Amino acid sequence: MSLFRTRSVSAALLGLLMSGAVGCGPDFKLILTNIPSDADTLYFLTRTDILNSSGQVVQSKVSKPKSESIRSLSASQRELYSYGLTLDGAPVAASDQNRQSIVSVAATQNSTVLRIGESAPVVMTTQFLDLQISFDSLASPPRPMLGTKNLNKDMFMTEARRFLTLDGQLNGILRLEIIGWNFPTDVQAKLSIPNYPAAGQSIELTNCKTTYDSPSTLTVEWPTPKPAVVNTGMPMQMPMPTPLPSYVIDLINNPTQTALGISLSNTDGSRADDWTQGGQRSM
Amino acid sequence: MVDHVQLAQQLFKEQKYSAAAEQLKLAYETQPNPLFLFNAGQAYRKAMWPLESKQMYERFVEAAPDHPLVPEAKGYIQTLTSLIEERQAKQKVELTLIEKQGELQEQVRKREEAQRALERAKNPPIYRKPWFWAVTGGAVAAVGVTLIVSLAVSARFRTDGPIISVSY
Repeated sequence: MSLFRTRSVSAALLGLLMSGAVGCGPDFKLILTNIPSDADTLYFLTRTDILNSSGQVVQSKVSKPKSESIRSLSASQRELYSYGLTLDGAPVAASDQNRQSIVSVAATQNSTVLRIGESAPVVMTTQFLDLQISFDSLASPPRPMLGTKNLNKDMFMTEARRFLTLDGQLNGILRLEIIGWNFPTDVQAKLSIPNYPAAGQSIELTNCKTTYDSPSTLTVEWPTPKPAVVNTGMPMQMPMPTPLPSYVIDLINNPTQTALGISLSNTDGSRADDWTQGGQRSM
Repeated sequence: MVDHVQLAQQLFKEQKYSAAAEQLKLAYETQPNPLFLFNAGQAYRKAMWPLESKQMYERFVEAAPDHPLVPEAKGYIQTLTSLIEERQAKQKVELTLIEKQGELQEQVRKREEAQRALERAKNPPIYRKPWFWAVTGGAVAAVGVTLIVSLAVSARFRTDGPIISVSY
């Protein structure tokens, strides 16, 4: 009896000590380097995915944004500074699963975004990880002015890169890779070319497909008009290539002169952001 | 000059027999009258000092073998000899008994000690049990490892800024 009691007490004490030593503390040690000298606030946003043994995402959850004032940081501290980062309420991996997190960060000065970007996915194989983000490697966004937007709750686009690709049937696809902040998972994009000079009017790019990649990246694809099928008199009807509409060519080849209107909103309309990229107005 | 005979008579009346005998012995030294030895024997006998009494009677018989009190003195000597032997025998028995008692007590003590040793061997104190040291050693090692891990973890947890908690 006394043997059992003594061993139980020892085991309990040991368990308590071990849990105290390992079970507490943050999930990440976030090591930030080269924080912009004029930045006054940092914003953090994390996405955590649960991956099965095949590496497929079985659950994904995005945190609410969190801000941290850095007004008091000295120049030397901005060269190298670390925070603890705790993922409160993040999904938990089962024994045969892995947990992967992406940390998005934005450095702002008043209502201007100075740097914005996200870390590479980090698989949390241990309880505590170092995660280093260098602000030198993050984008200085072409759309820095927040206006009335608040990064603690609003959605905001900072950059959109235009590409022209082909789908499996060799149809042209206008692809837009949008970088920003706090994108909801149900976000949908609408594209338009406002006041296209050649047409003398605005052109709506309908049937856009929006793909949510992360709270800070989206992909929007718009299928260009399909080539017309013409009868060539041959035994088989062959699709004949027709030139892409000029506005599509201008969107890619002359992006600064050809404006692209991007309108994002979620299903219930609680979050929205509109940006006319390129053209004469680049706000 | 002290009259030892008169003093002895006084002490005898007061039933201080051994003191009276001493005075009679002193009186004999100054005036060797064998009767003083006989009376000293009488006084020692009354004082229940048989060994000294017998010696006085024997000295009296030796000093005055033809004295009319010699038969009585011899009678006393014989009686006292028996008494002394009896007392010696009794003392010997008592001594033996005491020795036996001592041996018995020693045996009991040894038996109890052996029993205690047996009990100790059967149920040794907790610190003599191997598992106690195994558990204690394991616990000490675990605490040491835990402390090292704690220090390492706390060093890993040390950050320049606060802990930022993002909620999902």
